[in-house]
Amino acid sequence: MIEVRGLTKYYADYPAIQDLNFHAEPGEIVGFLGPNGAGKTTTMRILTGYMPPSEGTAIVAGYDVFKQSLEARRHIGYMPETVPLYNEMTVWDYLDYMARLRGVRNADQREEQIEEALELCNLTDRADSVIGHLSKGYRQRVGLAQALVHKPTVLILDEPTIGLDPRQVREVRELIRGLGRERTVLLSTHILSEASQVCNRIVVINKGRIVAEDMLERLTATLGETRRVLLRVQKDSRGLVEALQQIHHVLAVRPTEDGGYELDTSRDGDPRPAIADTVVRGGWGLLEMRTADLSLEEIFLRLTMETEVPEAEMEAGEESEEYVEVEEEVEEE
Amino acid sequence: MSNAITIARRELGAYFVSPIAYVVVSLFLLIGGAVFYNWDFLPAAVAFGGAPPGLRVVQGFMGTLLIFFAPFLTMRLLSEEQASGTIELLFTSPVRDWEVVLGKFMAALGLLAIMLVPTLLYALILIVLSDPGSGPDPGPLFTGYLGLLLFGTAFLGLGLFASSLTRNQIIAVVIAFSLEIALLIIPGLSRLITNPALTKVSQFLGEMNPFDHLDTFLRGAIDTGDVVYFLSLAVLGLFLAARVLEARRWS
Repeated sequence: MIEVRGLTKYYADYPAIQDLNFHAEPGEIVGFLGPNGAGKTTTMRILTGYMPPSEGTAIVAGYDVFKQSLEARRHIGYMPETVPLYNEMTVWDYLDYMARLRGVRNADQREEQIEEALELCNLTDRADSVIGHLSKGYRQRVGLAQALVHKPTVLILDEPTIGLDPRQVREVRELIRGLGRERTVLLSTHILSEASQVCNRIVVINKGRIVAEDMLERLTATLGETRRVLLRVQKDSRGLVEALQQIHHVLAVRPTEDGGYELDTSRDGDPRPAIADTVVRGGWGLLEMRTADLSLEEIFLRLTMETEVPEAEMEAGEESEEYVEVEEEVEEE
Repeated sequence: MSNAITIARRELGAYFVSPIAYVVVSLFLLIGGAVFYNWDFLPAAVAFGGAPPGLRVVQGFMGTLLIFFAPFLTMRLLSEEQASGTIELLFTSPVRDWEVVLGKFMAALGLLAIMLVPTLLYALILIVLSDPGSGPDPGPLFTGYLGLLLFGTAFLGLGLFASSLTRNQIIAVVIAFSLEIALLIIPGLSRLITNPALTKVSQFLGEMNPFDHLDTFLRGAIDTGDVVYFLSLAVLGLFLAARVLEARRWS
């Protein structure tokens, strides 16, 4: 169980997070969605007892993370964004060390729990490998095993799939879904599709504030009436835009940078058969047509515009770089 | 406390993964052995035709070596955790900050013991080679080692503090050396204080030289003041290191 009330953290005068309120129940996987720099890691570090909040309270597993920090920490499994590993240790020794520190004193019990964590994370055959020699994917799994080894009731995972290849990403997401059946899981990500696949509920955070909190379906439904269709044709596309604009339910047509088209369509009706028909009959040569999610950037723009927070527009620079990555990820799926 | 022991055990193991421990321990023993042979054993053997009366020279010299080597034993302890981010694991585990510091310190102390134990061989050599009834006085041998252990304890404490201040191990060494050098030169500088109102301060600073305090032990005496001096330096170092870690959380 996680219960956050009015959580605020200042770095000097700069507010990293402001007045956060949310909760997560056992058996629930809550996605913490936001661009880099939104305050996800700061929030997680407060919840795990790494740093105290400036204002507000957070209760984890029934303990105040500031006033009863040690008790709270006993019940938390935390996987930081950059997985902290002792490279000179073997996987087994590392997990043994972490289990001891988290209070698993009984040797037999510890051995059992280490074996279980290894199995869950598909690491059994790497138990005696030196961590420094492991590949990125394995290191990430060791980081996850470390968060599980003391059987915590609350799991806090900071970008658990970052840097993994697509197959590993799928494995880790499945693992987290399984773990979330009896535990409380808080998972941060900046990838919309990850949040939609893994989480029951999503808390959207931007610039240190929660801008939305809901089930994903309802979230996207409230985000407006348009659905996006991506289109790619083979031939010279003279007259195509005009022709597409004639179709009922097509609201707007824009060429994209990579030579395709982006169509905003109304949710009242599905114009896709008509679009395909038009392209084929016009002889443009239909290569590809598919619907696309709103990008994270657009969701933020809309959410922040709705709540009318000043300076809601995204800043350029490092953040926009993130969105490129996000869109690529969406296309992959 | 059991958390501190858990940390100390891992840390002691980590010493022997890097070459630092091997290099420091073997250099220490190599130089120590040479000093023992040339300045304790040989002159006495030539002069008296038997084993020398004690280990005064080599024990004093081991103190000097510890000044040089202690910073290398402590440089990694907290710097590396901060550089690699593993400190986040310790900070989010149910472990108190002082337990982290104490665990690290105990590991360094363990390595110091590992350095000193082989030199007991020098004492054994004296006992074996001396005629029955005329062996070396065990008192100074024992207090000498006690003094060295306390002497090392103080510098490991200061070194740990230096290591808490930075993620860079080389900077940790430099800070630790600076603290040691300060202790060595402050007594000399204190003589420049001529204002009679400050005599007490000048006297206090004049007592700061660690070698003066080690000397009592080498002569075979145990003075509570010297014990307090070394232990307070160590405790000060540990206390400051714990405070620095705590401050890191709030920043």
